Amino acid sequence: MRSTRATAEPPLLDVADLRVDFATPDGPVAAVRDVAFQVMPGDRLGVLGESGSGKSQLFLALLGLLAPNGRAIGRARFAGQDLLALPAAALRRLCGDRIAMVFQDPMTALNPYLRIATQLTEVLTLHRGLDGVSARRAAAAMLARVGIAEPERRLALYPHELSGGMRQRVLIAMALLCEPELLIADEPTTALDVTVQGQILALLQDLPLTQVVITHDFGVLAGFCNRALVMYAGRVVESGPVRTLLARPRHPYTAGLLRAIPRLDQPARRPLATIPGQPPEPAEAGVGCAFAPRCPIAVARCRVERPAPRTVDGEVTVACHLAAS
Amino acid sequence: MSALALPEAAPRGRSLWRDAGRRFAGNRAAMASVGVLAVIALSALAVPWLSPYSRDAIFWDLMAAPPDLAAWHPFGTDTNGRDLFVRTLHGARISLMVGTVATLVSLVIGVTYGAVAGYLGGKVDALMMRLVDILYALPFLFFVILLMVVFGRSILLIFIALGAVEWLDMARIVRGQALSLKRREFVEAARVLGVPSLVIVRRHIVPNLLGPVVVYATLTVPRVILFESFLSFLGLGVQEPMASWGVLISEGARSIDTAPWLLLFPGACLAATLLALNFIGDGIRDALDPRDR
Amino acid sequence: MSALLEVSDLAVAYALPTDGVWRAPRRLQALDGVSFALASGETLGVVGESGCGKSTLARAILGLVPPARGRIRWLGRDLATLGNPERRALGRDLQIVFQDPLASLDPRMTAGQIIAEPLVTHAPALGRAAIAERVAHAMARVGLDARQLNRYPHEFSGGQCQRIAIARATVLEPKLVVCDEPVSALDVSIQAQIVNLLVDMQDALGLALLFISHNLAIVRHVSHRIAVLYLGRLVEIGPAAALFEAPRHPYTRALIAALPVADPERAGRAMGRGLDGEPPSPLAAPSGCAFRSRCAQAVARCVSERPTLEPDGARAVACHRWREIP
Repeated sequence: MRSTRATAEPPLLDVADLRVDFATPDGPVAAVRDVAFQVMPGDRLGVLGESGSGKSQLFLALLGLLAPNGRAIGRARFAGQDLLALPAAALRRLCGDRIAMVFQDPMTALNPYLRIATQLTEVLTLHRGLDGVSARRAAAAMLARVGIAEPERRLALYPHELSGGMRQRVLIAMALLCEPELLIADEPTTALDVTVQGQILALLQDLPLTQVVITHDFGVLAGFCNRALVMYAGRVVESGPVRTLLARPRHPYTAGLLRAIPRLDQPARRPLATIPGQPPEPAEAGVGCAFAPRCPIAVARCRVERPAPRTVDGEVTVACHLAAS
Repeated sequence: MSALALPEAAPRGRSLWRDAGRRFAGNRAAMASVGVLAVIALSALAVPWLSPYSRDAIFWDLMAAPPDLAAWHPFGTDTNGRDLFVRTLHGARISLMVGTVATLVSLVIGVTYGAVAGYLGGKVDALMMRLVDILYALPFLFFVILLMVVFGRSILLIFIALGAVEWLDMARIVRGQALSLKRREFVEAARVLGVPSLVIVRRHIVPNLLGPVVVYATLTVPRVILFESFLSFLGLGVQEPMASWGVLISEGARSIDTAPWLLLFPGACLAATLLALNFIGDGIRDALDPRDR
Repeated sequence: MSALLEVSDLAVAYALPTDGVWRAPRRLQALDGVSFALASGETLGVVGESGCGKSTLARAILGLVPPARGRIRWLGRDLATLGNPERRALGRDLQIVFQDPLASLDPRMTAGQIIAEPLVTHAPALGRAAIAERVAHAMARVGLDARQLNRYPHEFSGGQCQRIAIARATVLEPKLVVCDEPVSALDVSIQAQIVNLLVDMQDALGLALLFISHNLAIVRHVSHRIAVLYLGRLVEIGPAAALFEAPRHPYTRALIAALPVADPERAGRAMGRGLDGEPPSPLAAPSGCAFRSRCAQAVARCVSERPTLEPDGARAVACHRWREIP
C-alpha cells in the first residue's frame, strides 16, 4: 500500500463539481451534489456512507450506468478523458477495459441462466477479441488467480451451484479479465459471511491495482484503504488519510458513526452513542448543512449556511463550520 | 376491519391504492377508455332522453331503412321496422349487466374458494383444486345448451351459467397468489401473533391479492359479454323482446348484403366496449405494478 | 429467574424437491440436536454464519416449522402437546421481530392497525378507545410520533418500520421476543438506535430476548449469554463476557478473530485471518465434527466421532480438543 503521495504524478481519476440528478414525477431529485475528489495511481480509496448518501450513484454515474431518468453533470477525468463527455459507445469500450466494477450482491450480479464460462468469456471476446478456446483458457487462469480451486470444473457450473464467497470471486475475476487500471468494488464483503470476508479482502489486497471500495464498514476501511471519503446526503463531508480519519475524525457525522459501533473494549449493555433521527431522503434538499438536524454541536449558522469543503491540517478536507483547523 | 379502525385526527397516509389511482389517471389510453365506457353506459341508462321511440315501436313504412338523422333514426331500422338505435342501447344494458353481474358472482365465489384453498394448503388445497380441475374438464357449452333447452331461456339462467364457468379461472389465479402470499413475512408475523387462519385470510391475504383480482375481473367482463353474445348468436341468449348485442349481431349478419348497418352499429358498439375494457384492465395492471412496464 | 424456554435435542429437517422421479427425497438437516435454556429477563445471543440454522431455530421455537426430533418446552409445557387454540394463545407471550422491516408489515394496513392487531386478537374485550390508547402508548414507547398512525409502511424509513414491528411485538408485554437479525438490514447509525431501544424495552418490561445475528459485536453488546451455532449444531455456549475473553471452540475463536476492527493499527494484522474454505453445505455435513473440514486443530478423532456438548460450570463446549488448544 502506498503511504506517500507522489505529487508529480497526475491523478488516475479526477472528479470535480459532480452532480447527479434524477427526474421523478415529483420533480428533479439530486442524489449527488458538488462532489470533488482525486484518486492517485496505487491508492486504495474507501467511500463510506449510509443509504441516501449517494455513494453508489456517484460511481454508477461515472461508468454510465445510471437509470434512464438519471443525469450526471460535472467533470470526471480518467487518464486524460472526461468520462461524462464521452459518447455511450466510447464509454462502454473504456469500461470493462480500463475501469472495472464489482457489484454488490454476488447472487444477483451474475446471470442465473448462463454458465460461469459463458459469462467470463463474453468479456474477453467482446473487449479483447479472443476466440473461444483462448478465452476459456484465460478465464480458467483468472479463476485460479482469484483463488478458486479446480477452475476448469467450476467453469461449467451455473451461479446457483456456487457458494456466496465463490460467486464474489467470480465477479472479481470477471472484473480483472481485461486488466483494468481502476477497480471499483461496491460493498464487496457485505453479503458474505464474516469468516469469508477476510479471504476476499486478502485477495483484493494482493492485486496491484488502484482500487475504490464503497462500503459502510469501518473495519474494511481500516484494514484495506489508505484514503477515505465520507459521504452524507449526496455530498462529501470529510476526506483524508484513513489513519487520521479514524484517529481524529473532524466531521461530527464521522465521529458519530464511529461512536455508534459497538466496540469490544466497551462495557456491554450500556447504551450506544447514537446519532438521533435518520439520514435524509435525497428529495429533501434544504438550506444549510444537511447534517444539522442530527448534529450534536450544530449552531445557528449551520442551519442557514451550507459549509464548503475546506482543507485542514494539510491532507484532510472537511465540510463543517466548526471543524477546527 | 372496523375493529382495527382507530379514531384520531391524525393525517391520512398515502395508501398504495391512491398511488395506483394517480398512475392510472396518467395513462391516456386507459382514461380515454373509461370515457368511452362511460358514454356507452350513460347512454344505455338515458335512452328515454336520447330517442323518442320505444324498443318495440314498429315503423311499418320504414323496414330496414338506412340511417336517417332527421327522422331520429341515427342507426336506421331493422327488418321488422324497429329503431336500431334504441335497440342497440337496450342491448347495451343487457350486455353490460350480464357482464358485471356474472363477473361479480365469479369474483365472490372464486376469491373465497381460491384464498381458502391457497392459504390452508396441504390436503384441503389438493382436494379443492381437484374439484376445480374436474369442473374445468366438463364441456360447458354443452352444459349451457342443455340447461337452456331444458329450462328455457331466462336471463337468470344466463347469469348462473356464465358465473359458473368464470369462477374456476378466478379461483386458480387467487389460489396461486395466496400460495405466494402465505410465505411473506407479514403473514408469518400474523401467525406468530396467534391470529386464526380464516381471519388471516380475510385480513391479510385477500386485500393483498386484490390487485391481480381486479385486473382479472376487468378482463373477465369482456369475455363474459362475448360469451353471452355467442350464445345469442346461436339463438340461446336472452328472449324476445329483450335483445342483447349478440342477438342484434346475429340478426344483422343475416342481412349483411342488403342492410349492412344492421350489423355495423351493434358490432361497432360491442367492439368498442370490449376494447375499452381491455385497455382499462391493462391500465389497472400497469398502475398496480409499475415495475412491469 | 425461572426457565422460560427449554430446548432439548432439537432437530429440524427440510425435505427438498427430488431430482428425478426415482430418487429418494433429499433432506436438509437445518438443526441437528440443539439444547439450551433461557431464563426470564435474560438475553441469549445466537450467532453463526450461513447454513448454521439460526433462522430455523427462531421458526421452530415459534411453531412455524415442525421439529423432526427433540422437545421445546415453554413454561414447562411441551409445545408439541398443545392444540391449535392454545398455540395461538401463546402469541400473547411469545413474539418475533424479523430481519426485513418492510416485509414484516402488511403493506395494506396502517401503522396503527398493525400495532393494534395483537390487541384485537387477544384482548378483543377492550373497546376501540382503550385499544387506541394502548397503541398510542406503544408507539411513544418505541419513539414513534403517534400522529403517524394512519401512515402506511412504505411511507416510513427502515428504522421506523422496525420500530413499528417492535411496537407490535411488545404491545401485549410478552415474556419472550425472538429477534431474527433485527438490525442487519438497517444503516449503521440506525442500528445503534434500535439496539438501544431493544435493551431499554427489555429493562422496562422484563422481557427475555433471543437475539439472533451474524454480527458478533452487536450480539456481545446486548446478550447476557451467547450460543454459537455451526451447521445446525451448538458448538459453544456461555456468558458473553467469558466467551469473548476466553473462547474455547476453534470456530468461536475464528469468529472473534475475524471481527472487523476500526483501528488501522490492529486491523492491518487481523486482516486476512479469516478461515480457509467456506461453510459446508448443510446437505453434505462432514462426518464427525462438522467444523473439522476448516479446523486447524482437527485430528483423526474429529473425523470419526461427533463431539458432544461438555458442560463446564456456566459454559459448555462441543469440541474434543478444547482443553489442549492454547
